[in-house]
Amino acid sequence: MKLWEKRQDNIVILAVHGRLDATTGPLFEQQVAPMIDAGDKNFLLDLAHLDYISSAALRRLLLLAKRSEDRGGKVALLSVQSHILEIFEMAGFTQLFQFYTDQDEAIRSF
Amino acid sequence: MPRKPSNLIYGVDENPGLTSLILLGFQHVSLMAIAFIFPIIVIEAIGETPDQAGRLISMAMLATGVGTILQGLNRGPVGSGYLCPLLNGPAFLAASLMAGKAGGLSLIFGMTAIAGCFEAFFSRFLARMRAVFPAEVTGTIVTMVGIEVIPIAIRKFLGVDKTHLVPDATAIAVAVATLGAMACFNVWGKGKLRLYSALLGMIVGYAAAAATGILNQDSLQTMMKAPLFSMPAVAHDGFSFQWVLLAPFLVAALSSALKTMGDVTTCQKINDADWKRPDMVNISGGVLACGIGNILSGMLGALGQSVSSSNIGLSIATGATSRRIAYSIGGILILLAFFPRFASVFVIMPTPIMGASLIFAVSFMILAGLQIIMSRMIDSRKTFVIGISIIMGLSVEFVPDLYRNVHPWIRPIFSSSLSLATISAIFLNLFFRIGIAKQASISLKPGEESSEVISQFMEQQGRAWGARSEVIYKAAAAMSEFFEAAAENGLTRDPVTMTARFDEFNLDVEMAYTGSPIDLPAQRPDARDLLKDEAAPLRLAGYMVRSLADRASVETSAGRSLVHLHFNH
Repeated sequence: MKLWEKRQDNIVILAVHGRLDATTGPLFEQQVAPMIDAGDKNFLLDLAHLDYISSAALRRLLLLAKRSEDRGGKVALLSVQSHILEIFEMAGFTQLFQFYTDQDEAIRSF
Repeated sequence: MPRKPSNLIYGVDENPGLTSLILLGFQHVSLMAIAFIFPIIVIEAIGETPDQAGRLISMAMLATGVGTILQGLNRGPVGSGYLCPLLNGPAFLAASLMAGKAGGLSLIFGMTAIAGCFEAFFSRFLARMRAVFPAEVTGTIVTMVGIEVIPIAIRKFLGVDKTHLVPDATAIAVAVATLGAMACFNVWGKGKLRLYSALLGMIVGYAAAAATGILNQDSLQTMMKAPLFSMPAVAHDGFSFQWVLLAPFLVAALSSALKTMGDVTTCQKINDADWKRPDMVNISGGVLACGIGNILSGMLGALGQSVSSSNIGLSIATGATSRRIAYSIGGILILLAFFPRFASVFVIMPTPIMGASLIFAVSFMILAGLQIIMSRMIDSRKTFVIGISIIMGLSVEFVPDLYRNVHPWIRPIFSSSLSLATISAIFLNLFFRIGIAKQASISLKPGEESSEVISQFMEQQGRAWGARSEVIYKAAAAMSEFFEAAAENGLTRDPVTMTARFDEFNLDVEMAYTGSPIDLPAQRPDARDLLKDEAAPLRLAGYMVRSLADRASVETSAGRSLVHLHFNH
């Protein structure tokens, strides 16, 4: 798993490459937790290059969303591939996140 | 019932209405008319009279008209039920020339009927030969079906024929106008404009040909000389047989059968949005129709027939694949056999219009083949099956002299890029099956190894098996879910042995370990409970495993647990 960070206005755009599972999930959390501690609360996760996500990693996304919301921010998802979206749907996570295919539109939603 | 793809205007089971059926039928017959060149080539080569050429074309219309209708039948053992027109194609050309030179037309007809019997007999065994024709083989065949037409298409597009040996600027202009019009109507036209894009393009082409003098007074006189009505002279030349010609005609019949397989596979794919694999029973019916068509050709006095790939390309391009169009084509061809003057409208079609029409149709055909190939995961074995076969096939066109001295009996194989590529793909596929295990196992220790190893293992096996990538992805995802849940929730501390078994229709995975069984609930836990309820993550993982698989079960006995997952392929 690789994480690419970019910022626009007050939004942290994180491009996640590779797999998010029980092994890489903690690494993801390790990189994101300091951002939240530093005051970041709006996250746009670009999942165009995410190959796989397990339910354990979904739980970490949920945790991130909760911490963001607690601080008055939110987590949105961008360019989710169809097979990854299927996992989100299966797990009942599609109601918990906003999904976007266009980055500008996603940024305007914050 | 197969789901109709969104790009089709009239699917295989739909009725376009009488007017559309007639116009679409004429559109297809216009393209098929290009094949009338083959009877003329045979007649000229064996020194028969032009009258004989006319008779042979008339019989070709009658025999292929009936053959096309038989191919469109969707009930009973005969026919594939698809719009898959038959014509006097190149499959029988080499064998027919040999027979014509050795014993005249009667020998051609006698041997063609025998070849038809062989093809019909061969069709009865096809349903049991599924393993011989996986997606990479059928996709290669379909691709080559399109590629085979390129040499004749490009020559005609450039205006090269027996009287014009170099490309002609005027002819090219007519061809470009024709192809341009077809493409424009097809890309930007909606509804009827797209439906009749080939016919409209041909009308533009005829207008351009008339304006530039390519379609001249001589052409019209040729047409007017033909009688308005004439009874087809059935079995005019009789039949004869020679043992020595049996081998080339059987090879031609085999080529025709293989071509039919490729073409019917294309028809299955273009008519089913959820297509996964060739339906061999349906293909058997298609090959049987082709065999009966060839018996009929011999009995009536026509050359051997095979499926027209160009017309299937046309049906994709226009979005009209209704089987009723096949009946319309058959009816029009049978009628034209009785009205030679109308038939000659198609016979005098200018060369560049033929070339443009072929290029238009072949573009779609080649892409259909590539799509079939890419529907499966590809490993180095399959790369060789596909790559070597296409190279062997193309060698017939690139360096035809190489095969000049092959034995006449097997010359039909080496005279067609499609035949050589097909034979190559079938043999290479069988050869490279050596060493591919139907099942594979991996043993992993929870908590010590990453679930990524499971994905790599399944992808490697999927490529070796030629499995569909989406099925392999789901299986790997379910296995990873279980493996992570087992590690995080302490279901076991011992290695988990994962065994995957594959055949064309099924992928079964068994995960065996010593430890507690995993619960696979049918009810999804509320996502919000994941942060509150400690047991919720395991329930979600179990639910995901169950949902990713098409069937899932857990057994436990004497401390050993076995998770069985089934995936439809």
